Parts: sequence; C-alpha cells; structure tokens
Amino acid sequence: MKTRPLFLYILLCCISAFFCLPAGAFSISPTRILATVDPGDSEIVRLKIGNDSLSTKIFHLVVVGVKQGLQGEPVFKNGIDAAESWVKFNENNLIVPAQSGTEAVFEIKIPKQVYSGTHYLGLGVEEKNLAVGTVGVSGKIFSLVNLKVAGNAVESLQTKKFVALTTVGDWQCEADLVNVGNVEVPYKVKAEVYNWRSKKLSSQSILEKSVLIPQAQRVLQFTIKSDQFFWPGPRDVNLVVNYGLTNQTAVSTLRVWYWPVWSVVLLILIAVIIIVGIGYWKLRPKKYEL
Amino acid sequence: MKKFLAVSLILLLFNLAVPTNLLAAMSSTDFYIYADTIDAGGILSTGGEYSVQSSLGESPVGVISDGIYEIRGGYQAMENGSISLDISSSSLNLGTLSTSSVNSVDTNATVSSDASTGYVLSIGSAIWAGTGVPFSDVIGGTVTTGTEAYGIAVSGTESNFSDDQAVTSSLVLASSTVAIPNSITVLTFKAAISSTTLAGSRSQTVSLSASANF
Repeated sequence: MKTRPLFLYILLCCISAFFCLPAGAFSISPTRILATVDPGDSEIVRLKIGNDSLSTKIFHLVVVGVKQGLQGEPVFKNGIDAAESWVKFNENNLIVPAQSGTEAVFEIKIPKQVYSGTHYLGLGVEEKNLAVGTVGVSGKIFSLVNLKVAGNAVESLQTKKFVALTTVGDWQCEADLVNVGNVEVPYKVKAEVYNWRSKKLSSQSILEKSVLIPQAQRVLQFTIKSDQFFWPGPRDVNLVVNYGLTNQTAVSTLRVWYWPVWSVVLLILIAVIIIVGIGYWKLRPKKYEL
Repeated sequence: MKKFLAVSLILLLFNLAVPTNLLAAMSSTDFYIYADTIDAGGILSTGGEYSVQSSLGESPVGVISDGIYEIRGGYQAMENGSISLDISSSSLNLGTLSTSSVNSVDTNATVSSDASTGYVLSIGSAIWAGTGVPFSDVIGGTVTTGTEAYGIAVSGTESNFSDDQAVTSSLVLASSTVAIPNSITVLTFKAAISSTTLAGSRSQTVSLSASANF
C-alpha cells in the first residue's frame, strides 16, 4: 500500500520533466560558418537541424544573401549577392520527427571567373506551417556563412561623413563608415578631443568591437559630454577607427567651438562694460579751457 | 485510502514547489560542479585518421552566463553553437474590427543563441492576402482608435523598439550582442479602422528570421 504514493511521485516527476522540455522550438547548428574556397572549387556545408517540438515538422531549405543594416545587424534578402546562385541543395523538404534532428546539406560551387573577396550568405530552414487567421506567423533560422573566395584581399574602411548634429550643451555627433574593400573588417572606434595646442583632453570608446562586411555602411551616433572641459575655445574631435587584420587606422577630424555658459556670461559682461565705457566716454561732460 | 491521498497530495505539492531536475551536484574542497549530464545515446564515427563521438538526447544543454563566465552545457554545445526559434502561436486572429477600438493579438517568439555575438530576430517578409485592400501602415508610433492603421509592438528585455511600427521586411524586433538562452519577445499585432476603411477580409503572412549577429 505504501509503495503507491512513491510510484505516483515518480510518475509525477517523469511528467514534470516531460513538461520542462522546449515547447516547439527548432534549431540550427552551427550558427556561423567560415569557408574559404578557390574559384572553380566547391564546398559542402552541413547544418544540423533540430526539432524540439512534440510533433513532426516539415522544413524547407532556404538560401539568401546577407547585407548589413545601418546599425550593424544582418539583413537577409534574396537577390542581393551573386553568391546566392552558387549554392545548390538536393532535398528541399526535410521531414524531421518530434524530438530529433537531421542534416541539411548545401553545396557551394564557386565559378571559375569569380574575383576574390568575401560574400555573406544565410543558409537555413523555414518552418512550413499552414497558418490560418488574420496573421500567420512562420519562422526561419539561418547560419551565417562567411564565404571567402581565395585571392587578394583588400581591407579599406572609409569615414564617409563625420559631423556634429548639435554643439549646444553636449555634442551630438554622427559618423558614417563604409567598407569599400572586398573582405569584412573587424573594427573599433573611439573619439578623442584635442585643444588648440593639440593636447589631448579626453578619449572615449564609441564602439568596442564589431565587424563591417564589404560594401556595408554603419551609422554611429554618439555624445561627447562638454562639461568635462573648462576653458572655451576651439576643439578638434578626432574619430579614430582601427580596423582590419592589417591593423590600419583612419582618422577624421571635426572642429567644434566650445563656449561654456560662464564664458558666454563673461563675454556679455565684458561687452556691456565696453559699451557702457564707450557711452560714458562719448557722453562725458566736456571741459572748456578759458 | 485517505492516508494514501494525503501522502500523494503532499508529494504533489512538493513536486510542484521544487522542479525536478535530473542532475547531480558534485563538490570537493576546491571545485564545485553544478551538474553532470545525461545522454541517451550517440555513436563513434571513424574515417581513416579521424574519429568523432556524437551524442544523442543530451541533457542539460545550453548556455549559462553571468556576464563574466559562460558555461556551455553539453558535449555538442562545446563544439558548435546553435540558435533556436520558437513561436508560441502561429495562427493569430484580430477578430472583427470596428471604429471604436484597437484590436490586438499576441504571440511569443523565443530565441536561444549560444553564438558569442548573440542574435538578431527580424521580420523576413510580410505578405498581404485576402479580398480587402491592405491596411495602411501605422504612422506616428501609435495605432489609435478611429484611424486606419496596422502595426506591431514588441516587448521583452531584448526588444528593439517601444512604439508601434509598420510590419515591414528587415524590421529588427529583438537583438542581443551576447549569447542568451530563452530570450522571449512578445509580438503584438495591432489594427484599427476608420469610417472610410473599405470592407473586406485581410490576412497577412509574416515570416520571422533569426540568426546570429555578425
């Protein structure tokens, strides 16, 4: 009789463990792939597709181009990279039973006449669910494939624009960086402020570590606290970009005139004193000599 | 029988209060291992000079981090990162719209990524269907009563905006720059009509894209 509660408890344990499993997720692995291929050669990419749900799922294989958004995020689209047409797969429908996984196989074949450089692709799967209702939501997951076509690599990152949006109060600055090379570049950005004697007054990190893919543009907006400076006068803000495996540095300079409140008040006061002085001098009683 | 029921009830309450984990902590003077893992299978594959041991049904797996340290649980997780996406409800219904209210409907998108660069969840595509003219995109950041507008709001720790935005491709809904398990983003689709909105049924298919960050 006493074994029945124990049996029930064990049964409940099993049931609760069952309900701790993910509800309906599907997964892809690895998340990122680096492949270097010679023109004319091919590469097989194998992705593990997991179905953690409690029912069988059907997935379609998807190949898309990848570009980089202005905030650095990946944007997946069809028809934006010639490399999309280099990828083939045999099996379009993957039927994955519940709580199991399978393998998606892609073949990347590089044409012979292709120039060297980096291409980004999204290889993944799309869950095909027959959603009904006003809004049907389906999902795709991608592995980011960094496909390097062997050959000469050019690392070149340019500052397209560096301006001050406002210098009243704190300085709001905006910089546009563009990768004009043919490979992705790791980069970090900092802003340094110098006075008129080229003495460094401050340095702040704008972006610690990121990657910019070829032809991508990154817009950075940042604030420099002005109350850290005391004396008024011209300031040079240097945008220092360290980039690439070749460890290059690109520097752009922005001239800002800094007038703290106290200096403006002082200037007005001096101006008033001068005006009053001139007025007094002009209107002073004239002395006539006899 | 009453005693049996009472003991069962106590055990049930205990079970609900303390979630069952099939783990075991191990410790010594210098080390503390939180848990070991359980595997259901796996095979050793060999091919000439190389061999690899696969795993099956491994638990627990995933990434645990506190900002300084990160533990990648599981034999496979140590070798390959993975990203997963779970959509709690794929068929949403906004119901019949009227000029006196804003209709909305929610679904949760849960992303787990053990990529060191985190993840990005965005709208891959949004395609209208149905007999009616597609709704106007929300303007001004809020879907309001009596004005025809359609948009999406997101909430969650990693959500990317706090107002109502047009449902368009490439819109980033949530992102993280570090590995993260079970990042839940609530997607709220909202619609409102005006007195001039043409009658008809509308539906939209929205495809979400999830991937690791650059």
